[in-house]
Formats: sequence, C-alpha cells, structure tokens
Amino acid sequence: MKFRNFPIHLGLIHLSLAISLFFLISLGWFLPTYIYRYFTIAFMFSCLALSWDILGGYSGYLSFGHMSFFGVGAYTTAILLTTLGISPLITVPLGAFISGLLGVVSLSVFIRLEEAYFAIATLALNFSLQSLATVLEITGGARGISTPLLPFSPITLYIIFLSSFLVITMVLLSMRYKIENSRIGYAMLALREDKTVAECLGINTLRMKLIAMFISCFFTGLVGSMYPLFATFIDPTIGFSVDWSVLLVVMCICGGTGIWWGPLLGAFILHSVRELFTYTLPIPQLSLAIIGITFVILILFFPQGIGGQIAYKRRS
Amino acid sequence: MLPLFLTLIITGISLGALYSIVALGFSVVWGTAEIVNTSLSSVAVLSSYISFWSFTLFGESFLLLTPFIVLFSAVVNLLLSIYLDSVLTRMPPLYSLMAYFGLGYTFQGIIAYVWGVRQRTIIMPLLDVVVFLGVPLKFFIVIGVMILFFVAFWLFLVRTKPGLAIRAVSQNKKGALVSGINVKRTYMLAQFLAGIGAGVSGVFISFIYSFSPATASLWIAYMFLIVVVGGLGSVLGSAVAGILLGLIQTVTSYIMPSLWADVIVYVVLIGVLLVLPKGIGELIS
Repeated sequence: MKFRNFPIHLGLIHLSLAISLFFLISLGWFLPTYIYRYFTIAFMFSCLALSWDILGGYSGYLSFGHMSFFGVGAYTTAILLTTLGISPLITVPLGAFISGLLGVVSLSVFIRLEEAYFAIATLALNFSLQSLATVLEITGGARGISTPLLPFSPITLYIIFLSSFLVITMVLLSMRYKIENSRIGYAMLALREDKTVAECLGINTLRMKLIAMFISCFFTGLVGSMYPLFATFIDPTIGFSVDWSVLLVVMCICGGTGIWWGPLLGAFILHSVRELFTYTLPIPQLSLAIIGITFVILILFFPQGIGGQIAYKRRS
Repeated sequence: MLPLFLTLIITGISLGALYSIVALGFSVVWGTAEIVNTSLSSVAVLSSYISFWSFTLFGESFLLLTPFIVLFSAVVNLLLSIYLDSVLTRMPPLYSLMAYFGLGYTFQGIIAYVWGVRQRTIIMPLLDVVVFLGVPLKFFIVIGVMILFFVAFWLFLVRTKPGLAIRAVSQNKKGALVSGINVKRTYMLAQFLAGIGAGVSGVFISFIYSFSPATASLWIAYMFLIVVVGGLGSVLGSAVAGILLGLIQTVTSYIMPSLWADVIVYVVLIGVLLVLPKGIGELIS
C-alpha cells in the first residue's frame, strides 16, 4: 500500500488546515478584512520559515540573509508585470526559479566559509542587494515599484493569496516530513551533525547541500514573487528587509529547527506577538522594543524552541 | 583641488575612526567570549542621544561630561551582558547574534520613544568655527582621540595582567581556566571595554555626524565588515579596516551618487570574506 506509512499527525494537520481554509472561504464575506490580512501574512511567514528551515535546520547552514531571495522574486514579478505586462501566472514561477538559481549560485560560493562567517556573508548579500535596489533605476530606487491591483475585490484577493500560501504551507510540510523520513533526509541530517563522517559514509555532501539550497531558495522566491501582487507595491526596505531576515531565523529557532512542524509554530507565535503589539500599544515605537525583548526571552529560555521542548520530551 | 582632497581624506579618516572604535570592542568581545554583541551599535547611538540631550541642557560645555556619558554606556552594556552572557556562552555564537539583535531593537525602540525618530545632529556655535588646514578642528580632535584610544587599548592588552587574561582566553579557554584565570570575569571585562568604546564613539558621532535610531542597524553591517577585514580581536587590523571603510565611503560618495557607497562597501565585504577569510590582520602581524 502506498499510503501505509502516511503519518496520522501529518494527515490531521493537513485536514485541519483544509477545514480552516474551507471555513474562511465560506464564512468569507462576513468576517472583517483584518482576519484575512492576519492569516494571509501569518501563512506567508509560515512558508518563509518552513523553507528557511530546509536549509538551516536540515543541512545546518544558518542563513541570515534569506530575504535576498524573497526580494529577487518580488522584484522579478514587479518589473516584468509593470514594464512588459506579463501575466502573474508566468512571472511568479519565473521569479521563484530565478531566486532558486541565485540561491544555489551565491550560497554554494559561501559554503566553504565557517559557520559564523557564512552567516555574515549571507547578511552582507542581503545588505548589498538592498542598497543595490535603492540605487538602480529599474527597481524604482528607494520609492520602489507600485504594481497594478489585480481585478478582484479586496476580500477575494485575500482569499486567493491566503489559500495559495496555505497550499504552499501544506506542500512544504509534507515535503519536510518526507525529508525527515527518507534517504535524502537522513543524508542531510548526517551532513548537519558531522560533515567528515557523512562524506566517509559515501554521502555526496555537495549534492545534498545544493538540493537543500535550491528547494529553500525556490520556495522563498515563490512567496516573494507573490508578495507584490497582494501588497501592490515593493520597495527595498520590505523586499530586502534585514529585520525580516533575522525574524525568520528567530521564528525557526523559537519553533524548533529541524522538526518538520517547528517553524509553522514559531511563525504563528512571533507573527501574533508582532501583530498584537503593533496594533494595541498606544505608542508604536515601543512595539519594536517589545519585539526585541521577545527575541531575547525566546533565545534565552527556549534555545531548542518550543516545538523542540515538546518533541524531545516525547522522545525521551 | 588640494584643500578639497584634504577635506575628503580627513573626514573619511575621522568617520572611519568612529567605526573602528565601536568595532574594536565588538571584535574583542567576539574573540574572547564568542559573543556577537551587535547591540553595541545601539549603545553607541544611545550615548550620542545622551550627548545631544546634555548639549541642549548645558550647551557646548557638555564635552566636560563626556567621561560620565562614556561610563554610563559602559555600565549599561556591562549590566545587560552579564545576565545575557551567563546563558549565551553555553550556546553556539549565532544564538547570541539573535539575542543581541533583539536587545538592539529594544534599545532602538526605547530611543525612538524617548527622543523621536528624526535625524539629529549637534551644531556647536563655538567649536565648529575653528578651522585648521581648511578643515574644522573637530575632525582632528576625533582622529586624536582615536589614536589615543587605540594606543591605550593596545598597551592595556600587551602590558597589563587583565589584558594578558583577555588574550589568553581568546586563544584557549580551557588553558586559561587551568592556569587560574577567572574566565567569566574576563568576559565581563571585555564587555566593559566594548561599552567604553561604544560610548566614546557615540559622543563623537553626535557632533561630527547625523544620527537617528535607525543608524544602529546600518552600523551593524559596518562592524561586521571591520571584524572580517581586520581579523578577529586584532587591534591594528580594526583600526586599518575602519579607516579604509571611512575613506571608501567619503571618496565614493564624492565621485558617485552617495548611495553607491553602500553597494561598494558590501561588495567589498563579500569579496574579502571569499578571498581572505581570516582578514588582513594576519597579513599585518
């Protein structure tokens, strides 16, 4: 039987995601737009965190500049859409593919650096692309690019993107489960734990790294190239946001890296904290301070992540 | 042509001096405790806001308060890091990067709450007018302070017992522990020195440069650049790398549109990482 090994908990998560999607669509036009906005952004962050963790959690390369690939995807869509008028159905996969290629090229140059220096190199890539996007004509400089609004009502637009991010989340979850329980996943884990031993066991470590990089950057770029379609604009401070790059890493760490459902949990927790304090505090500046304190507390008290604590407790 | 050239060089060097003073502390903390204290740039910005505040209270004589401002930022950095480092030294270095990024956000948020997000700069009616060789005297003061700071730091590392302890811990922690060095106290010392550096630099940013809470995020990239180019824990390397960075920035923003300066700086950073991963500190020593 093909489905004999299909895990019941993965199925349950998928089922609950599908049911919540069904309810969100059918209740649709009655709920306030804010709820759609909240869930769309939350699932966007889940996709980004889950794809970051394919590289960071499984093969052990912590990239602090993953928003570079998001930005490349976003700008590909925005430029092609506004200058050449190409349909989003073509630009989105194209943007994802270009991000994946850029990821493989740049990260494979960086992998010979030590762990901390790899992180700095990715951070520098992010900063350099950000400043490049601010300078160049084609990316619209610091003002960015406004993309035309798709011909749907706002709520339909949110439902479209909410469901696409949900589907990507489901795909990534299944893929991550598959990775954890397959030959290729064991190879990646071996690579993370000890590179030399992994090579001695006959694992083609370079191939594993390239696969992890491509998948990770591809999905980041996919989400990125969908972003300007519903935000209707893209500028360097969002497209190549260094703050979001660090936020992604903290999401994965706080959810639990290397656990297939960990980043999903982390993304929801941190996104909720952000939303809660951005909109409820009377003084917007203090929300940044509170997010900072949240980072510190999460790293100090949950270094294995909240998901990690659950998973390791169950295992022991 | 020549006076303009001289102005560019002097402003570049003094800007680089400010970068390198912050980055030296950052580099020493990273070398000894394996803690990536990115919040030092926020401490520097905090100290420049305190200088701004005391300038509006006391006018130009606020420069007499400099030791207290520096001491305050050093103590703030020390107290926070004592608590954070007690947990973070048991984790990989990149975890400390994230925690201190968060701490930096906290500083930025509080600064923005107290003083607002506008760009500030101090215009001093007396000191700004004094000109030497066609360049305002304050730039020379900054360069002088930087030379003093670096010589003092270098003498401290080479000639004193605590400096020896810092060098020992950064070479081999277990060896240092076995030979009776209090490793935890050495970490605290390194953080205290880094706080002093951030404080000094912050006071001088306030009157030769403009600053806003967001300056702190930009400086994080510059600190990384100086550590990578100069080599971890290298005093001379940090000074050279910082000055090079300042010169590149001022000269490129004169030749090209000023935004290109950042692009060039980051490309240089990536290039140096790939070609010379240990930095030019190795070549010098």
